[in-house]
Amino acid sequence: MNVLQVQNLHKSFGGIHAIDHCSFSVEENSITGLIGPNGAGKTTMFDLINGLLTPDEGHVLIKNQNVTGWPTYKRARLGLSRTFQAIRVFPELTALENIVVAFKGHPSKLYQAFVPLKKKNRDLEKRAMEYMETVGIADKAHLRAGDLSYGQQKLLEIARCMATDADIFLLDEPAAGVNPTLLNTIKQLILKLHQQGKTLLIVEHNMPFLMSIAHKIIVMNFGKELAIGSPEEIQNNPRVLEAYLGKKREE
Amino acid sequence: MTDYILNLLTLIIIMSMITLCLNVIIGYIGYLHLGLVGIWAVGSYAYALMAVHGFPFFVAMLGGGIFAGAAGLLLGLPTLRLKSHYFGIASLGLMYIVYSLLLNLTDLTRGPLGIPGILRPTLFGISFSGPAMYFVLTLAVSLVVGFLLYRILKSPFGKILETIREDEIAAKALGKNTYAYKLQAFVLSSFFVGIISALSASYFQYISPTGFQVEQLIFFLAALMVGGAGSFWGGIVGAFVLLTIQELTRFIPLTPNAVGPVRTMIYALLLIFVMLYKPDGLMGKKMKVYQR
Amino acid sequence: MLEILPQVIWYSLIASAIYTLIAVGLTLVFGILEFINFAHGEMAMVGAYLLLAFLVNFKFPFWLAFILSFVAVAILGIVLEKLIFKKVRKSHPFKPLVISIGVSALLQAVVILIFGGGVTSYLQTGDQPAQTFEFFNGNLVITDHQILLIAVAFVLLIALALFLKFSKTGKSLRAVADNKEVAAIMGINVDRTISIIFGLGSALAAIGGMLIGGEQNLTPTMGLALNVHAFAALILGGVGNVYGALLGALIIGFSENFIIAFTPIPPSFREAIVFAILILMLIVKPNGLLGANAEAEVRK
Repeated sequence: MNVLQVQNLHKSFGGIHAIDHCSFSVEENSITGLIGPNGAGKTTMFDLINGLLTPDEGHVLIKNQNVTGWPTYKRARLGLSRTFQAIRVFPELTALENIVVAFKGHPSKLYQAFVPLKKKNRDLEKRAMEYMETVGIADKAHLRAGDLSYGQQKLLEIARCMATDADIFLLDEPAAGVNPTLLNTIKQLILKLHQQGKTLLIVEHNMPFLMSIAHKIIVMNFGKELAIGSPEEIQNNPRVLEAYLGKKREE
Repeated sequence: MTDYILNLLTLIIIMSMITLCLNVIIGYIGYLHLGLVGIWAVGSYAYALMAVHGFPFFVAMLGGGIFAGAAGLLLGLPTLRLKSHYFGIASLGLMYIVYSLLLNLTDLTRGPLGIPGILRPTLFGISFSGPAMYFVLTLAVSLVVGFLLYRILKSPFGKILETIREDEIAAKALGKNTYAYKLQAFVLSSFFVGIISALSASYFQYISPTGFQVEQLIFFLAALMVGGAGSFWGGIVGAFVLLTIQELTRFIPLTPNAVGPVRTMIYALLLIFVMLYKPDGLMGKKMKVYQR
Repeated sequence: MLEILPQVIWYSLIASAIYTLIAVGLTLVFGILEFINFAHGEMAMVGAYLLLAFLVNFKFPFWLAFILSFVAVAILGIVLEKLIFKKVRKSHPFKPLVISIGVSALLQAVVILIFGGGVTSYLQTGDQPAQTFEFFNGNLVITDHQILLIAVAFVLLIALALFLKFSKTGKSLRAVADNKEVAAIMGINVDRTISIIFGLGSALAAIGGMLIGGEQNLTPTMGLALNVHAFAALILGGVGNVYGALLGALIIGFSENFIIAFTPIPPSFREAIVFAILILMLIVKPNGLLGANAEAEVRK
């Protein structure tokens, strides 16, 4: 089953077609890679999928539900979560609080300021600690998130997505700028999420990393899907090579 | 002398509470609220008009809160979708619009003449008009408002407000309806400004449109920034510091006409200086929004 | 009703000309530093009061007073930038904005201390009344000063357009507005360019202030009111766009004067009307009428 479908999506900014009638789908419990040269529209695609941008044309379907025009938060509640290319943790909150606020059961209704929550909060913090342990930064739980290292913030961001109970993860360059040890940690984390039955769509420039985990690769160029196939097929596709090496610009 | 100190303390408490309400918006959700004085004006006039027409004190006070809250709702509904600094401009508009209305709806507001004779209340047979009793009343109401706001800001609800300040897009991506949170916080803040308006209006016993202008906005902004936005005690400390400075300016020999502008100058210089050299204020956190 | 139309159109044109002069500086600063400079309108206010001081107190000839005033304001703009705004150039827009509110209040307070808080005027008792010209059976009355005002504004805006398009400085100005970092790499002196923008914008605003000062009374709060109009114009026209500012100023100038002339809304609602238009605009079409893609910029 396809849990995520992009149908004929189009978005232009002042005459430039950032996304040009692009279509693809992502199967349930798969690891799908989304690649393409810089400026191909990958992050714009993520913004359209999670609703930060509204498309000019076309549809986004999450779990066969047409969510085009839905606000971001509603899509998140449907089980879609996302990390960002430029990390977006809440720097003033502690690492632990970053995860606690992500829980669906976070008692953040206004009236709940006036009901006893001690026990509930303790439970949430305990659960949050489990996520911190899963990603391996439990010892940093009470530090300001902004004081964590770059890599730790990346892990925190993934843990925060997990805490939302999401089953679709959009990861925007999880391997960018991380050292080999951390890269391995992130890889194991992705494989673990896959084992738990989650669906992952990953934008990545680190090809060896992506090819080693992805089941399917979608190549985008000039805002369009250029090729879709298994990692082997993509690696041997002449059009993809051309797009990356920029031999000839095709219109 | 005691009366003087009691009056000053009463004023400090009142101004601290309004600054605290401003802090909810600027410090917690990180939105540049420049409409505060407009909201305060709505609350003050609502209270004053109800009070002079014989409504009981607490009813008029609630009326002030409800009208101010409604003004906040009207302003917030369309504008809280905008980014912080655009919201700032739009909310400043509220101040102008309210000011124009106060001047021109003369049948209701008496225009530039203002509303005199706002009496301090007599409750349960006790008169609260003397400095000591009025101080007690102010303190009591402020403690209740302060406690409620403290609970709210320290609750999970308050945490979500902070996530909006820190990174609204990330908060949305986590499934938070940030607009709804902002709106609730804004109406709440406005409501409490309206409640405190009852205290300020009957403290001064007279209100007029000139009391709700840019000078007052500068005072509250400077107080909040000096105290430190985003820290619960920030606004309270800031208002205390600024009013103390204001009292000290009494020792500078000034012509009556120069008092106002000299005060404004002091607040403005403080505001500029704090933003340049100590943007976290006396109590505030080192927040990205104000640091970067 | 209809007989006042020519006069209303004429007043709308005058207002639009003034708003454009002020909006130009505001939009250039906004385009480059991405913050709303609340103190920009005070440049108009300070310019108007300086002219008053030079003319009435020092009895300087008009041309000398005029030049001294706008040069002084240009310097004031540059000094403010060097002393204050430069320090927060890389900050979140929140910080320079709040600081500019402080600067605005400070300048107003200084002017009130020197000149008093009331209204004043260039016209002193005993001055010759302005020369007037009548058209449409007296339905349109134009003073010599108003003609001067429109002419000066027109010439300045043409000169500015030519300067931006053809001069080396104008080109570097546009380059910095487009992308500070790239401009710096290309060898453009960004600091100097930003200084020029503040100086130029302030001088234009000062001239706007002096011209409007001949039409209306001077008040210490006139700068803030003018800034509100200019800001509305720049939002309408799309941020960072000089021609957009002109279009926005025309729309603001005309709608404001038409609403006041042809509806029962009293003139003291001027700012309220402009704010209402502004808020409506921010909600309905935040990228302005000419702006390409400010949607993501304005909305979260």
